[in-house]
Amino acid sequence: MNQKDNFIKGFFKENPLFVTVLGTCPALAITKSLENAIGMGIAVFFVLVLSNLIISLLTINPKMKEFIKPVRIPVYIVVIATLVTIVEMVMHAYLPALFVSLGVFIPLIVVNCIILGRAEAFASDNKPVDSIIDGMGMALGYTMALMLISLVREILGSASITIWGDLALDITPVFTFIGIQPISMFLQPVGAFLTFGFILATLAAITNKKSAKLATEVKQS
Amino acid sequence: MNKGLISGVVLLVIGLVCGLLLAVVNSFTSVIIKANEDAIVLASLNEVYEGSGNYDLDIVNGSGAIDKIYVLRDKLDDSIVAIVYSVKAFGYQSDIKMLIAVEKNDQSALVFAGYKVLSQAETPGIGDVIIGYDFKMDGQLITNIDAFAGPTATFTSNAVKTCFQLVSARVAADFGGIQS
Repeated sequence: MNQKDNFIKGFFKENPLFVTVLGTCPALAITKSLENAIGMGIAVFFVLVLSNLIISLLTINPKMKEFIKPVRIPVYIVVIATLVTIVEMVMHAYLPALFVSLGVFIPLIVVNCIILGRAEAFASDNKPVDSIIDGMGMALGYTMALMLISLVREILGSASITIWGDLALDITPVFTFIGIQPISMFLQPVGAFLTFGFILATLAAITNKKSAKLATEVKQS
Repeated sequence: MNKGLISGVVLLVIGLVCGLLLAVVNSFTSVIIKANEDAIVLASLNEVYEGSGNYDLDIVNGSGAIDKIYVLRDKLDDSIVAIVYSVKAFGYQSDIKMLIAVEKNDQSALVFAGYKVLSQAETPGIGDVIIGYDFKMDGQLITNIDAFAGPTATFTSNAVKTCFQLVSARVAADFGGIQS
């Protein structure tokens, strides 16, 4: 796999949220606004890229890899927990509003399956540069998925798009023009499940259509 | 050397390095976090006690129903200007958390300077009118708790009154020196 494919696979082919369905707990909980999604995306990006790099560096030497193998899960968790705690402290200090908004889901990044999954499945068997690119692709793919869910929920739930802090787009006039009201249900957990479900169903329909088309082409040839 | 022992040592070293890293990050973030928290409290106190930004703020941990005590000291002579208590009492169905500020009036008598309900979950429309309700306690001597006339919700009113009583019982001693 070349570097480009390694980077892009996290966006579509192996998107952590929409394809492998990992990290759904925070994805459903914090996607009430676009700002939350971006904030969580930045936190996951930092943790995923650095954990992939550190774990790849730790296991690059075959002898060191052999020593780490029996204690690899505790080693991964120690590294990931350290990075998450750093993110938590820095966010608490410099972005207190976002820290309060994301709440318990920042420390819960420690047990996010995406981070541990990439450490075990990719970083421990690949070179540092490849691991960084994999981490970046996966983190950006996850962020993109979070942003998509939060956009749908925030627009339908509160008729606005909160980009960052006070930078927000009020689309109430559009709602007024169409003659509808915001549906607050989309800001509740049920709205998160519905949005996630509809997006997954749409993606499944597209994938099935592509597969059917490919099968027809193979048959004809 | 035993392979298992080496693995354990590797884990220990990684743990120590991570611990050291966290200590370094904590050393500069904890100061900012503390300053942020003080700023939030000061902003909140500003609603109770105007001009609180002109004072130094000491935070003392309380005990029992009094969670924290905020001591506002004059930046010029370090004297206590006001003491604000974060106090709670159980109302009809929730803890009512309040800030109650006490200061000295022109005759050096201790009076209630202000109050603010920080959180409550009382019955909407009955108990929750304590938010923004005029308790007519501003400037009242701390010994004059009976001046309090709360809303008609008895449990809620009693809880608020309890908060004032808790403060009243200890504030004189606190102005002489905070005891947690």
